[in-house]
Amino acid sequence: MEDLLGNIYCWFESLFGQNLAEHLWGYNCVTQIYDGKNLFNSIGLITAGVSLVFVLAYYYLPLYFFNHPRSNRWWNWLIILLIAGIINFFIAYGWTVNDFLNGNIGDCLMYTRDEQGNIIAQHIFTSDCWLFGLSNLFVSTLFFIGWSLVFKWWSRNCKHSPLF
Amino acid sequence: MRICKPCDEKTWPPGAARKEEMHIFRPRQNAAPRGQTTRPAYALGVTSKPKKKDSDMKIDKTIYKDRKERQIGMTANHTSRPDKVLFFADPHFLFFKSLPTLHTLASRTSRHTDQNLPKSAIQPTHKRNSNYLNLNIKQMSKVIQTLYVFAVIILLASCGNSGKKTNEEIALKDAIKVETIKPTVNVYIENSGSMDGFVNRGNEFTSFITSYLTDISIKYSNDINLYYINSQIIPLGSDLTNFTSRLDANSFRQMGGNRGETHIFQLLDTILKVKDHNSISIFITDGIFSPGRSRDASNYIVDQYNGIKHAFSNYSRSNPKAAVVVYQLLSQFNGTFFDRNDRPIVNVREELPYYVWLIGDLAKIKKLVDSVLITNVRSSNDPNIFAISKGNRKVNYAVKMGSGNFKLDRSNPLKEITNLKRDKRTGKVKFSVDADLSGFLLNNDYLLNPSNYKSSNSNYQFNIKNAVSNPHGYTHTFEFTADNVHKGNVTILLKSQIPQWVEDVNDNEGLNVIQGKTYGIRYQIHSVYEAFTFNNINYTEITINIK
Repeated sequence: MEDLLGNIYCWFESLFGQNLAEHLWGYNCVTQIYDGKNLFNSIGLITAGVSLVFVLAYYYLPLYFFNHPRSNRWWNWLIILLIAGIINFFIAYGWTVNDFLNGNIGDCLMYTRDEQGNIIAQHIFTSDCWLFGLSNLFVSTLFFIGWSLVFKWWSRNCKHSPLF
Repeated sequence: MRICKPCDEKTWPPGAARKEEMHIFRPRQNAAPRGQTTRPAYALGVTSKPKKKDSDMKIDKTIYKDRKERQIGMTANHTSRPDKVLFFADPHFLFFKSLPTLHTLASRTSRHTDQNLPKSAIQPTHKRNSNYLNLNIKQMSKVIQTLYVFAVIILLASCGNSGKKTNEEIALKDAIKVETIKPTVNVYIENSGSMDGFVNRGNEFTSFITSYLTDISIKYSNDINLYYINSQIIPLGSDLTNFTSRLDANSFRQMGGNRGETHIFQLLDTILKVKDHNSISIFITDGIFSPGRSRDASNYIVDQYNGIKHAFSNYSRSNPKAAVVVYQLLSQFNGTFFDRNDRPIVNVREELPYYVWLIGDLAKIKKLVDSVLITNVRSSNDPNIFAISKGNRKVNYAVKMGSGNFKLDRSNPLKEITNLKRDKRTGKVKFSVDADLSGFLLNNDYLLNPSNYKSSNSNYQFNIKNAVSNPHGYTHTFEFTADNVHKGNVTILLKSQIPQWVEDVNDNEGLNVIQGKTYGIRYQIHSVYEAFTFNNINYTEITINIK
């Protein structure tokens, strides 16, 4: 069960790469075991939380553009989904790029070295962090859809948004 | 409900109840205002009940000054209440249902009673039983108090000095001790008649012995004991300079002993029986069996083979970390050569092998081998090496992260692979395993030769190369490839094998001088090999599980 979020993210592993995925799983190059923090869970829970907040706001917050008769349109729901997704995109990018820039990613995941210790290949780049952010946007979308299906039924104004 | 205010004469309000509380908190200031009655001394205890309902909550009136003087509390005369109260609970009450036992039975007077009942029904009727019960309770209380004291003492004792910490300190000291004590090196040079041709000043043999022993004394240990050995051990002291200056045939002859026959088994057996765990033995010999004229050589050599095997078997059994290294070197021989029937062949000038045996604890031998590289010693001439130690040792190894298209099993990432797939670029299944093979007395050529390994899964081809720089101490990398994914275990066995040079330099006849060959050397090496590999012929094994 603790690997559930990680397994969801790994649907998009081809986007951000296996080595960054191993870092996010908590692989420790020094001990060679997964004794680090499972960042998929941390980022996934934040993503789920942000999505939930936006879903609850959309369906129950009595403000214009949220739980309002004029907001009862599918594209209103889509805009909220995109806002939540973009926030989660930057959360995931920020988290991973912070690890990347601060050297928190293990050397064995970052580089391949020769017998003298010289770097002969690099495996993780900032572009992988952007792509992980994109993956998180997709995951955020999944959460948003899921939360919407759960919470829409009791909304006064947006019960039928986006569908049914 | 009212709260007592601080004990100040000016703010002190009249009233018996407050005075009483004042007496309770500040016994020294218990003088009542004029015209008011004071309560008797026995009523001044903390158990006295307040007169009024609104005065049952009290505030400690101890001022900061008092607190400063009385840091521990409970002992000073002006104590109002203890700073700290320790509650000792009998675990029995915490974990078990309270049952009416001797020490839990309340006295009859303390039981809950219906006040509407007549007095006779409430008050105790059996005074004798009640007293008996109270007596038992008092005795039990004393026992429990004593037990508490013991329990507290034991707890304090156990907290103050944990055994683990002590053990760690002892272990650390032992480790340092092992590191700082240098081993003793016992050098045995065979001085039988057949060795005379080797000890010609300036040839490879004498040059090597001088350089090697000097390097050992500088780089490994200067605690060196020198011996000649034939039918007996002849001590030569520890003076290396004196020894090397006298390394010639005359000195060999002068030192005596039975120089006519060379029984390798007896020589080795004598060396192996030296029981000193902090020493290693170096045995320098031409390795030629000399049975003497009266013995049948073929029977003799088999007896020697069995004797050596038995001696080393006992040695390795009593020293589980025992190891043996044999260097085979070449030197110009100039003198009389004795064949297997002890027939002398005079004026032989030939390049013949001689052997340097290192016998001792694996770690010490390993350190010697690494400290004094044989190839760097003058006149070593690229020696052949045979090394053996007890097999079935565990080594550190791990699947190399990122060496293929797979995932590591998160519960056992060192040794288990999941989701193994073909590499998109090469179209082959591949993965690599890093291993630390530095703990063996095997040279890199041996370790890099795939023929010295055996794989349990023929679907995977493998090769070995030196590991890339890593912080884990891995020395070699096994690269596995296959056309398809084959799930299951892949086991690599590092075999203990006799090197080919043993057969190449062996002379089966022993009747003539043959350049670079030694009569019966294969029997000596095989007997040692079999003694060490009696239970297990593999040094180690590396197993990877592909799920």
